[in-house]
Amino acid sequence: MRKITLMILSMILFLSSCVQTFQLEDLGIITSRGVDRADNNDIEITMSVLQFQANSTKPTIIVSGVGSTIKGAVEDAGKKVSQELVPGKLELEMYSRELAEDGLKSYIDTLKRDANIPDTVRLAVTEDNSREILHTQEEHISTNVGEFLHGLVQPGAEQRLFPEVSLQKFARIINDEGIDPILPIIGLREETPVITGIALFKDDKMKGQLPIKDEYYFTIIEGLTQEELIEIEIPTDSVEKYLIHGNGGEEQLKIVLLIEKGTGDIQLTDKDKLHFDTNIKIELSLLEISREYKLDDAKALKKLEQEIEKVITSRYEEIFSYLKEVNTDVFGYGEKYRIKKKGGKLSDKEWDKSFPTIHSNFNVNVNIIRHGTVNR
Amino acid sequence: MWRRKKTEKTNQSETNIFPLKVDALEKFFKEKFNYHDDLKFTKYTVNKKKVAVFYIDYLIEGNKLGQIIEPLVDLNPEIDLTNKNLLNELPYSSGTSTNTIEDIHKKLIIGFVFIYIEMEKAVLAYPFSMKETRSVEKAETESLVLGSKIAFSESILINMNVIRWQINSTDLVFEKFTVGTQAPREVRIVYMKSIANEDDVNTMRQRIQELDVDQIEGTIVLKQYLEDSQMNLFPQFDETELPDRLAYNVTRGKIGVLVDGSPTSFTAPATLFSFLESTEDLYMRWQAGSFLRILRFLAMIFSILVTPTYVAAATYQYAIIPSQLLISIGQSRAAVPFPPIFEALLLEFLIELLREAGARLPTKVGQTMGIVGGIVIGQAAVEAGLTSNILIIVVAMSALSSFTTPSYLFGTTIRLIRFPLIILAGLLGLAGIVFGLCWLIIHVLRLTSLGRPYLVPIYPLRLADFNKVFFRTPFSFVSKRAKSYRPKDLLRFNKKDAKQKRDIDE
Repeated sequence: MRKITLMILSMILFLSSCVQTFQLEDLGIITSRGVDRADNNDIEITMSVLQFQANSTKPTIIVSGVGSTIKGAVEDAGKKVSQELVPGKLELEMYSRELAEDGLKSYIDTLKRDANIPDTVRLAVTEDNSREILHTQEEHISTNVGEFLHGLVQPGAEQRLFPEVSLQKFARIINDEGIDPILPIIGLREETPVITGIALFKDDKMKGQLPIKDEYYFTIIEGLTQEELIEIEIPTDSVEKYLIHGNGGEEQLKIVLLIEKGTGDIQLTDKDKLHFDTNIKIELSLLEISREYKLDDAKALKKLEQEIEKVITSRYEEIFSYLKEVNTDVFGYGEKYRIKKKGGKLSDKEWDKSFPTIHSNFNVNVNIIRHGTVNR
Repeated sequence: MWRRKKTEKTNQSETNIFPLKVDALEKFFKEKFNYHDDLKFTKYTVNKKKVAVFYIDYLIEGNKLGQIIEPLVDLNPEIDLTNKNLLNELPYSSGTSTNTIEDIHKKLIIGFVFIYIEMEKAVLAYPFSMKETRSVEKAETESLVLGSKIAFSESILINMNVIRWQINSTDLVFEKFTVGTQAPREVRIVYMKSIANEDDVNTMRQRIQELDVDQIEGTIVLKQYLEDSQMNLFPQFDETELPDRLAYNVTRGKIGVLVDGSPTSFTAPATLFSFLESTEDLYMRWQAGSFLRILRFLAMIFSILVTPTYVAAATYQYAIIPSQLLISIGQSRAAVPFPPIFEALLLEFLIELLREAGARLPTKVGQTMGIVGGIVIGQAAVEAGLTSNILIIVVAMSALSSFTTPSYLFGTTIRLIRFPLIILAGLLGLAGIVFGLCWLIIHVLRLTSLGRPYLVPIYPLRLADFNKVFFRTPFSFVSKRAKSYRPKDLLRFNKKDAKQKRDIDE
């Protein structure tokens, strides 16, 4: 018995081949990549690759390749570098606007299917083409491009720049009925990549975009907003009597607030007419106000809250009507409807038709919980 | 090894040559005695009778000898010189009479002085043995910051004396055994009669009694003979050179073993975790004690895992390295011509060399060598492109954490375990490490120490003992001894009584 076990063990040791190694110094590690359209319906892929050489100061190089599929393009790019290109540390994948408008399904598919690509990869759309963004000179951003871009998109604890869109979430939502995904738009401003807007998708196709400053309107509905700064302007006329030194000739009162907690809730009120209630509750801290205000006065504070509510509600209504116009249900009204619907089924086509006709009341409830004390 | 002793050594024919003339006795010793050169054979004439005094001079205390020669020579002339009378006259009470040659031989080599009166039927024997020993000194291998620093010496008498004063209790038992057929040694087992588990004591007793070896070299060797399994890496009994630590273990219901001529002792049963305990934990406040104990525990895991993980990550699983670290590891790896497994083995080998050389060299040279080895060679190895500087840190960390174990034997085991794990990591990556760890865990699970599970209190689970093993709680919570060792008496003090407040105005 013992002999047999020993024999089997030594056979396993000597007759089996070695596991394929991925030695760090022999690898080109892709940290982020951008997909663009090339000629003849091909796609071009541009990648920020970490490769290691002793005593080199610049570990990142940018490689690109062309092919009819993503894998083919990566293969093509692999010919241009001495190391093997591996996607194990891929942190960000960008698609040009052109591709996003045609649909991302086939590209998402390869991300999901390849086990070597980490599930933590984040997605983004580029304003123009991703080639330019990846070719950003490193002088402008101090770290390497891949890391910088990932830092841009990854939600940091201190400042949530964008609602978290992981690969999983995006891949799920494009297949869900009654809800549509969003992605960040990355563009160049003064040769530095920044998030410039929110791409609104209808399933996997990009339909429209909104400026990035509207971002918290989306996160509040998701109920995820915390510690986020917002800037609001309210007309001075409406609160003039509470201003200590008058309006000083300014038409707008500029306020900077910190969202301590924001929650959103969508309720279906009328199933047949498709009427919804969107209840939004925000708790705010006042950080900055352009004119001195009678914050000690409960009435004055109440008035301020009301004015802020007005501004937020009207912006919500604008966004809502824009969503109806481009017919993407990012807030997920369709999902609420589907749950209440008899049978619980809702086809994409059906909701496409009805979404532009739905109606929603936005009930925004703003509560300033902290405003600080300033010595007079 | 466990063979039953062949029923009491066949009676070596007892030869009785007495009575005989003193000159004949001297001749007899010259011819039959193996080391007659050492034998001092002096003849006197007292009260008209010839008397022989013989002994091995380097085994006896000279000044005591004078104290019996003098009264012997100046014996009152009226007294008839016989064994009986002489026993009464000499100032030592410890004299006995013996009449077989074998007995005389045995006693000669342990420092007896013999007096033979011509034509008597027996010889008088006085035990004046002198043992050269080192006096008790500070502990060398197990150094402590707090607590008593006295260490065991080579003399079992001194050791027993020290323990007796540590545990001054009538319950304390020193059971005596002799081990070794050719060169017997005195072995003592130490335990508290009212606490130690009867079965454990019996097992230990039986193992010592049934041990059939020609000789043992010392405590650690005896420990290996007595262990449950000799085929594995892990020590199964807890060795120590601190009477303090032995006393602590004995009062908690364990059994200690002492061997004459050996400055260490061991206690049984032991668990994997008892090797990480130090009496110092007890002297610290409980928070610090817990911290140090957990630290040592983590250090053990860390020491085993950190180098294999580096090898696995640099060879296969590059994705687990954080992005920022990836660049620095990658750049330093790029200068190294070997695969990570050779790099790691090379550096571990270097560290082991340093460590072994440091242990062998005299202390003063050792320090210099540590500096030369650690700084100069380490730095040079990186610059020569033999290893990456990240690995130097990794290996140094793992070496450092393997030093934190209070038990030197266990620390050596941890040193050894690393190597198969590094090789497994180099061959199979993280899967290899997991494979190795599984093997290790299964192995440790199956181990026993004196028949008791090695992983108690984790397996079998005894939550109540966690505060004696993994961390410390204030003393008011430790009213019981560890149940894992099944002591006869579980209670140390009455918890209720201890919690009662005794106010002055009551």
